[in-house]
Amino acid sequence: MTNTRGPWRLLLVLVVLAATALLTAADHEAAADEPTEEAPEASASEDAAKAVLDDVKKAAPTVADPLPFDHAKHEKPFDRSGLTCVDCHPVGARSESVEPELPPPPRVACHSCHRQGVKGAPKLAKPTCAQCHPVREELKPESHAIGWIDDHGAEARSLRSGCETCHDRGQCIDCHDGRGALARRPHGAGWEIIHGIEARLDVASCVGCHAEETCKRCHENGGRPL
Amino acid sequence: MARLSILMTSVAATALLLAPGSADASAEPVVTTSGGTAVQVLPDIDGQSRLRLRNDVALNVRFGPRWRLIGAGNLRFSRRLSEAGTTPVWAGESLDEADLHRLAVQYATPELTITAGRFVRTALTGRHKVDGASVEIGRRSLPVGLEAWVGRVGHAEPLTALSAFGGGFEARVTPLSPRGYWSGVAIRAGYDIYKSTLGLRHVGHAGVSFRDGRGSTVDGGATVGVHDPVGDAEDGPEVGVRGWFRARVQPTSRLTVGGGVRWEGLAPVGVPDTSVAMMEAHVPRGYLAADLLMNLRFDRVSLRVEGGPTVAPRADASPRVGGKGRVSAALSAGKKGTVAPFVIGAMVGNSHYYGGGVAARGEVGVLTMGGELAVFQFTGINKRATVLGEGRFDLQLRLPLPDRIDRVGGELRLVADVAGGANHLLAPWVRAGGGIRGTFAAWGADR
Repeated sequence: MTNTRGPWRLLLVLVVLAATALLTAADHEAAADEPTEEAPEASASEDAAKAVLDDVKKAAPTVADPLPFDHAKHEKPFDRSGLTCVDCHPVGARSESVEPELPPPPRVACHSCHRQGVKGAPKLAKPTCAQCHPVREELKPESHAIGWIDDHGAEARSLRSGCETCHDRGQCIDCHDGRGALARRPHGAGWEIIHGIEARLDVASCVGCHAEETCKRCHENGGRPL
Repeated sequence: MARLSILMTSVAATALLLAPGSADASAEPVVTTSGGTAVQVLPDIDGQSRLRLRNDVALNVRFGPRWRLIGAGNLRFSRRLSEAGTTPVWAGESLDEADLHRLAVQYATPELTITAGRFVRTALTGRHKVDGASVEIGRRSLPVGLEAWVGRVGHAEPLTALSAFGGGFEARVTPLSPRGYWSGVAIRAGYDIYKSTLGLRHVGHAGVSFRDGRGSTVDGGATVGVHDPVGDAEDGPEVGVRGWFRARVQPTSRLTVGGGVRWEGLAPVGVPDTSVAMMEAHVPRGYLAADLLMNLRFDRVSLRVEGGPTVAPRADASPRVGGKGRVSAALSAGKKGTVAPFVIGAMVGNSHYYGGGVAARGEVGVLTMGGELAVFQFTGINKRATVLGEGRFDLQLRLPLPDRIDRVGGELRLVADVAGGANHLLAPWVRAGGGIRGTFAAWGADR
C-alpha cells in the first residue's frame, strides 16, 4: 500500500464521503420533523430519583444522563427471568404499578445481566457499554495497568478473551504497525541495542509483525549489522 | 494517498458534526473517531537528523443499528534536515509513506457479520490486511460459528509491496455447559490457501482453548503449511509445522503461574513470500522455545519473573542454544503512579546482553507522565563488550473540554516525548517531538 495512488481508491472514498453526508443529512432532516417531547413536571419522587442517580454518577466510571433504559424492551426478558420491580429497585418500591415512584437501580442491577462471561446471565443480554458509559476511557479494566503490554498477548489469544467488548478486531494493527501518531512503541527502551540477539533467539516473534524489508533497510541498505 | 487521508479526515469531521442531529433509536455512538498529528526530529542511521510529520485518523460511522463504515489509516512525511550524508536514510527508499489499515463497510448483527473492503484479519496463522470480503456467522452469540474470507492479502507492515491472493474458512465451536451457559472451552479449525508469484501455499490449523471466569487459560494447537513452488518440480512441496501449548493459572488471587512450549517451523504471517524468507534465513530447520512466567502480587507491590530457553537444530553443527530472562517489580500508588525497576538478560551463541533499568508512569491532575531508563552491557558477534543505554520520557496534557457538547463526548491531549541514548555504533542520538491526539464520539438525537 506504500505510496499507492490508485484512482479507484480515491473514487471509492469520494463515493463514501458523499454517501456519508447524504445519509446523515437525511437523518438530520427526519429528526427535525419529529415533535419534541416536553419535559414532565418535576416531582418529589423524581428529585429522589435524581439524588440516587447523582450518587451513581459520583462513583466512577461515569454513566450517561439520563440512563437510556427502555422498560418496554426489558419486559419479556424480565418475565422470562422471573424478575420483578423490587429486584432492580430495592429502595422505595411500594408497588409494581407506578414507575416514576421508583428511584433508579444501582449499577449492579444492570451488570447482573449486561456483562460478558457472567455465569447465569441471560444469553440475550448483550454488552453495550457505550449505552450507559459515554467515556470509554473510564471503563479501562484494572488489568490494563503498567505491565499490561507484556500480558495482553496471552489474553488476546484466548478465544473468549473479551477484548472485542471494547476493541475493534482490527485495532491490533494500530499499535503493532506502530507508524501512526497514535501508535505506542511495543518495544522497551534499548530495543535497538538488543534486538539482534532477540531476533536470533526467537525470530518467529518478529515475523508476526515485521516483513523482511524491515531488516534489509538497515542491514543491507547502507546500515551495518551488529 | 495524501488526498485519501485528507478525505478520511473529512468523512470523520462531517459525520461527527451531522451525527448529533440524526434520530436513532439506539444510544450507541453514531460516530466514533480518533486521530492525531505529531512532529518529530529523529536521527537516521548515519547520524543525520530527519524531521517527520505523522498523521493518523480512525473512524467508525454507524448507519442505523446494522450498518457501519470503519476506516483507519496514517500518513507520514519526512524530510532530511541535511543533505550532507552519503548513506540512504533509515526510512527506506521513500521519505513519505501512507498506509490504509481499514476502509470497509460492515453489516453486523449478533449472529451475522459481513465485511467488504479493506480490513484486518487476525487468525491463528497471523495478522494481515485483506482487500476483499468476509462473512462470519455466530460471531459471539452462538455456540457454533463459521468465518469465510476471500481477497488480496497484504503484509501488516506497509514496507513490502508483496501480496498474495487468498481465501479460506474457519469453524468454531464453543460448547455450552449443561445449564446452557458458556463453558469456557473453544475449538477452532480451518483452512486457508494463498497464491502468489512464487507458488501456492496451503495452511491448515486447529486449536483448543479454555478460559475460566478468573482468567486462567489453557490453549494449544498446530498449524501445518505446505508450500508448492512454481516450476520447481524437483524439490517438491515444502512442509512446515508450528505447534504450541500454553497454560496460565491463578492458584490464588495473588499468584499467576504460566508456561508454554512452541515449535516454530512455519512462518506465522499470511503473506508467504517474505516471512518464509526470514524464517529460512535464520532457522531453516525450525526451533523450540519454552517460556515460564510467575507474577506475584501484593497490595501495592508485584514481582514478575519470566523467560525461557530456545533450541534450534542445525544441519552441520550442534543445536544452537540460547535463552532470556527478565525480573521486574512494580511499586504502585494506584492511579497516581507506578515505578517498576527491572533486570534483563539474554544470550545466544557467543552474543549476550545483560542490564537493567527502571520504568515509571504517573498522573497528576490533567498531566500524565511516563519514562523509562535502561543500561545494558552488550557483547555482539564481534565479541567486544560495550555499555550502552537509552532513556525515554513522555508527557500528556489533557485539555479541558465541556463534559458534553450537544451529544458529543471525547478528549483531547497534547503530547510530547523525548528520548536519547547511544546506539550499537556507540553514536549518541536524541529524538524529540510533540503533537495532539483526540478521541471523540457523537450520539443520536435520543441522548
